[in-house]
Amino acid sequence: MVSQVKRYSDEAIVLRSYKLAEADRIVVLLTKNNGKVRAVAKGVRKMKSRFGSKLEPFNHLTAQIHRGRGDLDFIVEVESISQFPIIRSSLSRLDSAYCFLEIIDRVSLEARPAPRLFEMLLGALNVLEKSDVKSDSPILVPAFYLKVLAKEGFAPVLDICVVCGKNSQLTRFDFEEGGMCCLGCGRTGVKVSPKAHSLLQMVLEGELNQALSEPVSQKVSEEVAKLATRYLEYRLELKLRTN
Amino acid sequence: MPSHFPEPLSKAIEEFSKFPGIGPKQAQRMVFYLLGLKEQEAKLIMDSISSAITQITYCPQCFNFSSKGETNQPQLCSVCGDSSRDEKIICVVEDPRDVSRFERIADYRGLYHVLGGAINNIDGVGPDSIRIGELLNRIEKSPVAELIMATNPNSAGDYTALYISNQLKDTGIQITRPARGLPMGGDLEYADDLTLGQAMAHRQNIGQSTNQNTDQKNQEKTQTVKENTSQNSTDNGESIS
Ligand SMILES: [Zn+2]
Ligand SMILES: [Zn+2]
Repeated sequence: MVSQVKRYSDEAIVLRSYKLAEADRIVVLLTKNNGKVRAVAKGVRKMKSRFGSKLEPFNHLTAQIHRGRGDLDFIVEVESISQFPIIRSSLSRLDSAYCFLEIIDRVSLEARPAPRLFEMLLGALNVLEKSDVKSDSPILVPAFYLKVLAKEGFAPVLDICVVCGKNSQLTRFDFEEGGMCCLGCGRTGVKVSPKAHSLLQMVLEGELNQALSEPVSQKVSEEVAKLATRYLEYRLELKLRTN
Repeated sequence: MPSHFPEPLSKAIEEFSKFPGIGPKQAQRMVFYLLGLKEQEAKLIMDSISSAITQITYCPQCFNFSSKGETNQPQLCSVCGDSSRDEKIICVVEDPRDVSRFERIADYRGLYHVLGGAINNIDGVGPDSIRIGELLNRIEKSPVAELIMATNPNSAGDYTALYISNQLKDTGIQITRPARGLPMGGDLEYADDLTLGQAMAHRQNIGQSTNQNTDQKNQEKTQTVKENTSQNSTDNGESIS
């Protein structure tokens, strides 16, 4: 349960923000220990605001937050931990980072602590912040989607046929059944190439680094991205805007 | 809110309280003020509102505010219609109000392009929701030498600037972004990392930067928008001494 103290301090990542009256903004934070928090940042749009750019999307920070009486809290003070300058200087990294933010915003709940989700988001942003080519891999976003799905209890079955349990000739992915199907069972669902299948497995088995280092053709990375996105949208019953 | 005012009065109050930042109390004060005016004075206000709404439209070239002509067609705005402006430079802004902000500093002699917002995919504002296509068409029809990306200095504004510069990367057009420095009147201690980092990356020589321009205060210092420029900042400027 969330404690009832008036003011608390927590580590957080900014998911998004929107304009409130005049120079204020409502900032949506994923905190480490207090779940998703919506808090008012007074005067943040003014050039001389003490918050400066600290409350921009995907910034990692420590915030002092005053608990409001309604569903809005107030940000009292912010200490920046990282503003991810490498992500900010690259369009493709920004695109990936926004995909992370959107799905986290959609699955996280207010006043429901989600430290694991927080760690996942921070971890993904930290991978993206590395300046090597690998960290900008097109596999990163679908990999993140799969991890979110697994965390929500919807990890797809990839090593055996989700219908009959056989472990050979797995060629299709069935959305409704939630996994790969063998030739005998799979009539519905989408065809999955062997390369895409092995990439999906690597990601779910915790071999993300290996998956990111694999030489992947654009066709295969698009296949993986499409599959992960479609399955995520299907399972979580949502439509992504950033993809 | 239950009201003991006659219908037309409570209706007026209700409408006025739709203004951003205006509550019912303030709306009441505004309406009572209008009621207290002489008929002539009140008519002046009413007419000005009505003609602003019926006659103001957007410039077909840059989407700044402009007015309708005699045939009720949108006319070029005062900037686009001014033949002394430099057509080779376009300053890209989010909002028509930004145009008037730049016009007040008086030094800028190029044209504008008003996007009508910034890309914010999470909120459903994609590149097609703002006037990027119009900008690209415009540049194709009448080529420019420089685009100044003066979108807001926040994540959405930065993203939009990067997105547009990426669309134009093989055109040879110089794409710049107004420098962001440390705000005057502040202590370094309170500057955030990003602002401080960018201020260091785009530092300039003392005394030299003002040479080309007689009015230092109004000078537009711009930096080129390029991917990954801010990491290695030593290329930018020499030592102060
Ligand atoms: Zn089977
Ligand atoms: Zn115009």
